[in-house]
Amino acid sequence: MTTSGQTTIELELREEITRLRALLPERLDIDPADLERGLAGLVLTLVEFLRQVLERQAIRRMEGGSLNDDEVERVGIALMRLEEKIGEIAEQFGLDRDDIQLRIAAAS
Amino acid sequence: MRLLLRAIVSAEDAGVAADRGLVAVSATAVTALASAWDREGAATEAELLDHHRVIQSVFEQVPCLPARFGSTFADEAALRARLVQREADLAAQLSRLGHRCELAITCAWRDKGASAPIAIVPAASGRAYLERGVARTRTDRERERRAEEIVVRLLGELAVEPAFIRHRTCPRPAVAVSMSALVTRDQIDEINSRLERLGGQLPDVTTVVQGPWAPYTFAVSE
Repeated sequence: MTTSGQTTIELELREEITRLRALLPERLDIDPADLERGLAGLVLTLVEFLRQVLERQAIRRMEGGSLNDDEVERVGIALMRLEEKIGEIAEQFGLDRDDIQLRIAAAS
Repeated sequence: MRLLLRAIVSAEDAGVAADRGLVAVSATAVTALASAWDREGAATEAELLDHHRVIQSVFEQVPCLPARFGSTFADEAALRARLVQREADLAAQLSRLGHRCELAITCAWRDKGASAPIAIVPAASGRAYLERGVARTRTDRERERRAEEIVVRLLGELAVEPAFIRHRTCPRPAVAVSMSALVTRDQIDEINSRLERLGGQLPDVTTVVQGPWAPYTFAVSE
């Protein structure tokens, strides 16, 4: 499907990039005591954001029937492990997973 | 002396600075109200609250455009240069928005369970994991649809010009609608009663109205 020469996927991608831009702070607060934690929070937010984009695409393809059983299983396992890993790293840095979700929601 | 911008007022209202200990920096039509500021780094909660208090105190007395916390200038000359550069736009905004106040309307889902954060619980299989995502997506879509219905009801009750309304649907899991409306002071009581009546007709959300505040969401004073 095309809209003014752009495919729906291109339009969705542009929308996701706009949201991604909103996630990035205008400036980094370089406080030495908190730098590591701040950067970890930023990186985890970006990774979680990308995980959610991939999950939405996977769900759409699963609902549309364009993934076979084996692909559904593999993609599902990969996304589940990635979600668990993000949770573990967030815990290691003392970050609240809900804060990460809120930052992504605020950028929507 | 470094300055923290608090608000923009009309040049003829510059007198409000004096009894609030603020510095007034004027161009032809508008005046910037600022405070001496030598702090660096992130703002504390007390500083943010104080910023809000200063703005509210000005806003209670004269029309103003509130500044977002953190707009600092090296000295009066730097602030004046910026003011002169943006004067036409600021004067236009002040005349359009300055006498209006902002009401913040929040509709929160009553069903807290459905909006609680989702715990990470490993699924039995990759398919089960994605199917859980499908169920969540369907719930989200249903909530988004319901939130849009609520927006239509709110807009109908507010009957405010579209340019004076901003809203977001489902901005957080617990919130259906977050809306800001610019109204005149004489509309506030009537709007509050209408929204209270509407709240009684929306059994799935709790409607809370906060304000009146200076027009934070609509003004671009920096």
